Amino acid sequence: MLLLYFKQAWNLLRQEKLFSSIYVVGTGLSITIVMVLSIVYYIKIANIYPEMNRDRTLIVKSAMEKYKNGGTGSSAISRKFIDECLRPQEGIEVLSVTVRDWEEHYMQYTNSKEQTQVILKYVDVPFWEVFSFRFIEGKPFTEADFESAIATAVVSESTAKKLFGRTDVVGEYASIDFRQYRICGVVRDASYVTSRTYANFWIPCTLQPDYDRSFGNSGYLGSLEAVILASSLEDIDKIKQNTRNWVERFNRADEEVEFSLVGQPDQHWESTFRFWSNVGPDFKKIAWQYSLIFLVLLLVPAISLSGMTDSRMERRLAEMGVRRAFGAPVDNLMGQVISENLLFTLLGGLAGLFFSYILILLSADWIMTIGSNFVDLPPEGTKVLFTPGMLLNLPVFFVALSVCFVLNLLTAVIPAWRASHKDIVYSLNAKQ
Amino acid sequence: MIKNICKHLLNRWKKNLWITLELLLVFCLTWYMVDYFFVLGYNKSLSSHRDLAHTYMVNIGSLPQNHEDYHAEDDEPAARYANYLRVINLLRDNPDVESVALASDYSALSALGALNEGRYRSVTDTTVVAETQVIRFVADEDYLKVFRHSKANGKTLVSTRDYDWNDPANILISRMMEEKLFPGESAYDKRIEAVDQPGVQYRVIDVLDDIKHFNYLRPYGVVYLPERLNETNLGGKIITIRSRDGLSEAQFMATFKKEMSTRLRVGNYYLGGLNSLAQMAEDTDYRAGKTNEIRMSTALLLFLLVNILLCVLGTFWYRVNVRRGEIGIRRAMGSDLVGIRKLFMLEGLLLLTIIVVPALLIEVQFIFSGVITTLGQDVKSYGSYLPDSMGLRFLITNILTWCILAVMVLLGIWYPTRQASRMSPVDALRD
Repeated sequence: MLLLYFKQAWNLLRQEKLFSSIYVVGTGLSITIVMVLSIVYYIKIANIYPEMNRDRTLIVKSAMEKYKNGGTGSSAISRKFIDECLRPQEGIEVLSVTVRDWEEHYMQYTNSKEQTQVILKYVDVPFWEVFSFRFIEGKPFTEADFESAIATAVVSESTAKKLFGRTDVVGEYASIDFRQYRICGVVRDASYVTSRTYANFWIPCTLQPDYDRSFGNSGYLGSLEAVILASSLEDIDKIKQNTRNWVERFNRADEEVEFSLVGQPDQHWESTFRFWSNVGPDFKKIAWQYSLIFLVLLLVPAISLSGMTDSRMERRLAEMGVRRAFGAPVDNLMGQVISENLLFTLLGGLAGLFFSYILILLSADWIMTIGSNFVDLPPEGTKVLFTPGMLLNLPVFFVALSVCFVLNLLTAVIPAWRASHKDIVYSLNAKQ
Repeated sequence: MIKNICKHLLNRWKKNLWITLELLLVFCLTWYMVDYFFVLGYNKSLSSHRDLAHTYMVNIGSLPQNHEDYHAEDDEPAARYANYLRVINLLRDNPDVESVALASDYSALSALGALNEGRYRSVTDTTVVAETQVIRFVADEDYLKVFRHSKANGKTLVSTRDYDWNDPANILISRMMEEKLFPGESAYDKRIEAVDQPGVQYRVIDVLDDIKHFNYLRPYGVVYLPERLNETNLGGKIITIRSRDGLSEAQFMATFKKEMSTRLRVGNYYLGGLNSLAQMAEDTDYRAGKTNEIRMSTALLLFLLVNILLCVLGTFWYRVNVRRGEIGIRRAMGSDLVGIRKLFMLEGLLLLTIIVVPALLIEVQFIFSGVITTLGQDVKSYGSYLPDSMGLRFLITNILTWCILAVMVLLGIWYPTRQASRMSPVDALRD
């Protein structure tokens, strides 16, 4: 039956080319924008190389202190806090710390006076366990290198090629900010879209002066960020609750200062909405905002497409009248209209998905920063790459299909109901 | 004709329900976007009274101690100072460089978004306090000329060399400060002080124009605090230059880097980089999310307009087909194609005008619920600005919205009525 409806819709599509084109473009436009937003958030949230364990990752970026005199202070967290609150907890598979670094860094070449700006990440040894980097050559720096603050570095494949023209560079030295680093490993490039891990060089955070400094009245403010890999998905809530309990206990014991993690630890997806160290994201507001945007994106075309479907049904009233006169139940007629419409919507959906890919690739440099309050500017020459897996995957297709179904229902139900409930005599007399 | 169209619309009100609903929804949403762009455009149209085009930040680096060319003796304060002055002189002597400036911190360059604010008052009347941005610059070089600061509402460009800086109390302020602290009189030779540093008095030696911190905000009052360069205060200074007129950015930067890289290797100093301040201002907008906000708003506006275009196109395409008989009769009665097109276009515009009334009612709800914000209103400006007058702004933005949507409606009707023109009156009458 569905095939028959589709055949009929296909014939209608061929007969009314202009109308069909307008309908497909209208549907496609809506789906393009919805899909761009969906793909951007999929890339921000899904498990993507080298951040393959995002679903099990918890993040503590910052903390805040309120003092008795009404003053406040906020910044990243200290090693003292990590050692006292986070590290002893159960349910943690690995805990990694990275240094928050605002400095610009430059790489020098041996045979040229030119310098290139690079992204440097100060990391620890567990970093290589939390994130699944693929080593092409060598391996991460050792615990001994880390503890002794030896100037060693892991380099990305493309940076190695740029610097030496090859990737077998383990044992070679790279000059960063006029300091020599021995290269211990080369990893496959990450995309700039995985901003938590993306870098040209990864070096031990012990090389950052005062990386483990503590300040604030509690001594828990510092310059580190903690990335926790929970042992299982069930452990996530346990770690969050234990951390909250620990902070409460601390605040009960210390009357001078009120320490707060402002709702952290965050799961990876939650952390993508956190921009300030002293104010947490208001998820209720964010949910409202996005619901409103999606509603507008679907409702605006839905009303116009619904009007067009209604006009089309007006022209087919006589057909509806004949079918009803021969005993066709209203449900069948409604089903027919909605199914026929689905073909148009699916065609629009396909076009929309295709255009959303084109739009994402054309605006690769900035599209991932949608919805961010503060944006890091990549160093000159950094290419934002999208792998096929980021764009072509089941969740994205599922979202596209769901949007099609919702849009189809929004556009077809009322016209279908109106057409199938018209008086039979009126329908039979309707002008073709 | 209008009466005829109104009767027609009334008779077919059920058929017009969808397009009316769509027009109403799109009108309200488009108005929201138009209001945003109106305020943004208005703010951008206000003069900045400073010009970042053809200005550059020269990054002078210092070799680290472990570098093979590092000389410890060049790190002595006297040698460092002498080398620094040599660097400045080399920049000034470059024929492509018009003028050189030294800023005391990043807040003197609005390009990076840093803002230094202060509260000042007159020493004679301490009850009135003006909140203002504070720009600290080195008076030995020409900060005012590099950034084209002006007075008398942009009529006169000023130079740091125009003033006597021998008295450390001498400062410049901007017009907003003068109006706030000395209403109705000249601030020249008047004394002011910072609220948090009472007793340290400054003497106003001229009043310049207010400047904008960001191009999309309103102008903001300024206090210009000069300092003199010496051996002890080299740290944190930012060197900026203005290139000669007529040189393109790319041309100047390429030539400058090529020529100056070797020449600026003075003592332990070296040329670390050259950045266009205009580009840095764009980058700052991008980092702060402003560029994305504008892109998203533009995309949403385009989305709304294309949707209304498609809706009108689809609806009127059907309408032309359904009303073939009527078109045939009109043609047979002698109506020409222009007349028929005019009829449909007036019908579209009338529909658009009818929905303005409920749209205005909905928009008023937007305003009272606090959804509408005014970009730049939080800047502590003391002037009066059009977007603050809600009634006038409401009127202008609604007229603009009507005009934009009218264009879309006319475009949407134009194509289907073109089809009607191809219709033979005989065929149409037979329908």
